Amino acid sequence: MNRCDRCNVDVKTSSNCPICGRYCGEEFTAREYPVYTKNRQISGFVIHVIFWALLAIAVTLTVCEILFMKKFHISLYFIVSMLAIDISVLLPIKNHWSFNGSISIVSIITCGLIVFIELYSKTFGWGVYYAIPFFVLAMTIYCLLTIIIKKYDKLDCLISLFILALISTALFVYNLVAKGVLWPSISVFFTSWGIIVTLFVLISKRTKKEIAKSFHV
Amino acid sequence: MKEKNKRKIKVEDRWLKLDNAALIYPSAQNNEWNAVFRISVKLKEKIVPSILQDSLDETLNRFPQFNMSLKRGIFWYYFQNRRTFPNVSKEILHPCQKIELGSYNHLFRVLYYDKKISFEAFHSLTDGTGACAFMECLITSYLMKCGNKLDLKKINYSPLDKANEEEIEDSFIRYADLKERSKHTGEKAFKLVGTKEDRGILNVVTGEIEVENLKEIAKRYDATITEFLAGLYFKSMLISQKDYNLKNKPFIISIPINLRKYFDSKTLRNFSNFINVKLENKHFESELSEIINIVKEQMKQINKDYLMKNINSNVHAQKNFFVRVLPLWIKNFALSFSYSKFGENLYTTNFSNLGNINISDEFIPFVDKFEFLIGSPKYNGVNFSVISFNGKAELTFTSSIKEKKIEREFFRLLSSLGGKITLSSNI
Repeated sequence: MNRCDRCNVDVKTSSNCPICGRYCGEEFTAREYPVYTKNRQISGFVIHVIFWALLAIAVTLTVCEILFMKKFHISLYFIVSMLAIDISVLLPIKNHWSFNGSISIVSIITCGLIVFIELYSKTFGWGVYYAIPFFVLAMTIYCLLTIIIKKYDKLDCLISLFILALISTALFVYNLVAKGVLWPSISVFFTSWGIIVTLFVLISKRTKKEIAKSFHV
Repeated sequence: MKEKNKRKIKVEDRWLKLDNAALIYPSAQNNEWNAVFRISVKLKEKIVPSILQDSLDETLNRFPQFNMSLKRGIFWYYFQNRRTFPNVSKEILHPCQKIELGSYNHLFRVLYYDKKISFEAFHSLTDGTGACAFMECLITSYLMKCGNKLDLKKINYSPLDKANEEEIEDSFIRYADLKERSKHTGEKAFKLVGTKEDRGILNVVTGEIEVENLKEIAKRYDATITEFLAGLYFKSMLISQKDYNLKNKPFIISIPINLRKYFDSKTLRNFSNFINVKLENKHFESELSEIINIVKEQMKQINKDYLMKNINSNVHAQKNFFVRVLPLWIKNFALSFSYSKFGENLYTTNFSNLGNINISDEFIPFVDKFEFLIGSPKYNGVNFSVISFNGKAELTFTSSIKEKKIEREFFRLLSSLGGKITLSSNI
């Protein structure tokens, strides 16, 4: 065993004293800890790169538009879309959000983005009548397939399904009042609520217990 | 460290409320940190991973309360039992890496390296005593599967025992009578100065010393081992930090107290409290013996009444109606703020002495030593922990700062007092 005369201690696992760094010899036993590999968090690094790249493009676009075109058009689409991507994609990945949280935020932000594009481009109608209902329908089916294929806990997906159903209800009511195109929103309304009711029936025994868990005070 | 190839098991749906002490840890965590500690055992033979895996499965059948994940409720977090067992994995990273708290993650990990098995747990799940019980069961199972004969009647937590409901109780709630409460007062403590290590790096320096040797030195100061080591720790911090502006703030060591010694409880969940031992500026030039006397004076206040007031105070806050009905995200914000303001801010460092590990002598032929490591704190730089087994004490410093001044002064001082120390490290 090595000895550090400066610290007056025996050194068991290395040739240098771990507290003063002095070389003590080669008579040490096996290491008690492995040679560490670096804990590389590639996802965090990639997220940073994507965020800063998007920000750089947004700033460049804005500056170019102001300088050369004297107006503020495409860059606003880009900035809003960038924000939407940051909140709905990068943030959930970075913070390891649950399936529920990720699906809910992606749905809300995407619907908001479609409405913004409609309003800003003065082409209102296509989003609320067709794009959002079909998007909500796609997300609802995705949740259902996740439950079936990945065998996710039905209750874990219930909150995201509930949020999608609320969006479909809002669309249905709006299109009814505004006398817009009804059939896409009606179909998504019945599909989403139908799935929720079916799930409730399937897991009725567990529902009470799950409510007790989630709402315990 | 992602969990792959998890094996599904059939279990009944079970959930548990977090115990009183566990509530703060999920809220206090951030992207880079959460409260993790480690108990390791170094055996005399090299670890066989496949046998360790079988042993872990058997141990989790004995302690189902460990096979949990943390889930978010509307008002509080709760533990939900998992339908899979985790895999053991080879140790490749620094100790006490953050444990991800998703719905599909376990709250502990079992690692192996050479002859060593390490159990790392998120602090909400259990405390040092619970971890020791889990480890005892794990190594019993492992040694038996390796073909060794152990007298199971002499073992406290055998894998053949049935799961015990008393081990799952929240003893804080059981004992809190909510009559007298302590008043949380505290002043900001001095923060150790040093160059921060990169995220995820934890420097470990362990000094091995004979318990008798340590007792004999402590006896010269008429102190217990904990009091003596706390005094020595103060002294080494003072020497190592004297070049920095001490800013009129006191040095404060937070020492956990195992409440099972004062209140009868079999729980293996959190059941500990803390005492903050303070060294004022006026004592900065004091001799070691004077510092140890100051520690002794403050340690005298630990009795059942003192602890009961602390328990009452914490449980009262938890049971407050307005606190209970606050949504979890507001609680998270408030608890995270209070952890930074009233948690680590009120002490300089942590010193946890698990003492002589309470496990059977049956293990002596197979076990070389136990180690106990406290993970990197959120804000403070250095922690100190002690565990002893078979007459040997392991004094471990875990640090997220590059300089080794405190460790150096501590072991040099101990050596100058007659301590025969053998160092090991991951540096």
